[in-house]
Amino acid sequence: MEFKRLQQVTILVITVALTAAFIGATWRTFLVP
Amino acid sequence: MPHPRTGLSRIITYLVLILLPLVIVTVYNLPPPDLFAYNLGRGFALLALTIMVLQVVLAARLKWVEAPFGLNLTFPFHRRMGVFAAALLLTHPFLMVLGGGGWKLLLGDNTWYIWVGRIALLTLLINVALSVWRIPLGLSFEKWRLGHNISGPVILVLGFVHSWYASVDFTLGLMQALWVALLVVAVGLYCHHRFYTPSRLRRRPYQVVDVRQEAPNVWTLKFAPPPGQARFDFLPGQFQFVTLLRRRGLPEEEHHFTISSSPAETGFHTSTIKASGDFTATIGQTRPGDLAVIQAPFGRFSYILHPEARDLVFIAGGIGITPFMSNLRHMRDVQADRRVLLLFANKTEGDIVFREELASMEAAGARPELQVFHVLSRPGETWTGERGHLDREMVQRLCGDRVQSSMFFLCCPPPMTESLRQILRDLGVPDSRISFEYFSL
Repeated sequence: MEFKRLQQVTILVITVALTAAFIGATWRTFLVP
Repeated sequence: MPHPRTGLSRIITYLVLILLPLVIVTVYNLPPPDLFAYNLGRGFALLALTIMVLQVVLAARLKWVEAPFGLNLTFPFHRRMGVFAAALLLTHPFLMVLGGGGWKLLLGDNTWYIWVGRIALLTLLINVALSVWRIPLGLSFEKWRLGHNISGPVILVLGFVHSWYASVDFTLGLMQALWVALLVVAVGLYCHHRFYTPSRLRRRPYQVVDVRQEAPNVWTLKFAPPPGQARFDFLPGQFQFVTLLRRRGLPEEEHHFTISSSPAETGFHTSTIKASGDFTATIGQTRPGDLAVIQAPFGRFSYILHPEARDLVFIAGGIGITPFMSNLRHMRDVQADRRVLLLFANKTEGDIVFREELASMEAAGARPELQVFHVLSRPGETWTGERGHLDREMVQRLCGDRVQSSMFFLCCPPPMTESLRQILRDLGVPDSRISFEYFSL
């Protein structure tokens, strides 16, 4: 994989992980049936 | 309107939408500079701005969005995602600087679209700060909402203009099309929510047909639909947004109130309201014949949504009894085969509303099978019922073996709700058996 694409994929992975972690933590706070 | 138990499809749709611009950028491998922090800053801004667009969707009271969660969840989620987007956008200029954009990006660059970005960010930070610290700052809800409703779209438009001109991502036709589509959807939804819906509801207002005092500072308003129109359908325990058009110099503000009547009673519905703030202090001045703009129903605080639970424990604090009255009255009307324990906490005996009606529902052999415990924190000397606060010992003693299998419903002031949630967890009740409703959204 060329460097530019690897960099962009890394950014996507970081952003997805950050978003998932934040939404996951938020959702647990409000967890209701 | 169906009431799905899970909102998995909505959550997945939300995630896909907020990440879509970044995925497009990744797939099309958009151009240099090949500086990691710089590009990460770009990515954060793309994500944040898409989240900002979807903030409009979360706040627009759309049934499809609200149905599986309730506004009790979607509004706090909207608030948290606003904080998340602000944090991403706050890091955005610093990452751009560190990634090679240079410090002039922060202060020295006087390009107009950079200034547009700065103004958007500053407005967003003020908006978020006022939303998070509204109460400590002493800002009234009405003033905050007015500012929020004006600054929200301003931030969106400024953010779009800034990104359109400043980012290399928007040299791509697909990104341009997506950005325009998102902006059109956001503006369209905003106009629908803020202008079209209120105007449509205002043309066909409900009418207050009775005002009854339940306690020294508690009133029940009875609403009838406009002539020729059926009352809206609702589930017991749901709530409504009401704007009372009373003239006489009384405030015309939109507030949400729980519906206290049973949906099985046709042709009218009621809300029971306690005078506890600037607006509700005027509730007693409402008169039959006054008009009311009503948007409803919302919420999921209903036993109907838990058909598997025969044993229910309702815990009410003060005026938090109102959704339970709606649930209990409906159970009575349809002769529901449920066993209900109601723990009803108040300060004094005079604060207990619906006491006689609850006592009549407790009659032997009646459906639902109801048992009520009144708990007073400031009882008189002659009070023979429970005294004190609903602490762990009292909850355990009054609930007995119901802790093992009952579905718990809590509607109390927020600190009491949090305390009770913790007590129930400590007693081994899983979150899946605790449903709660906050007084405020």
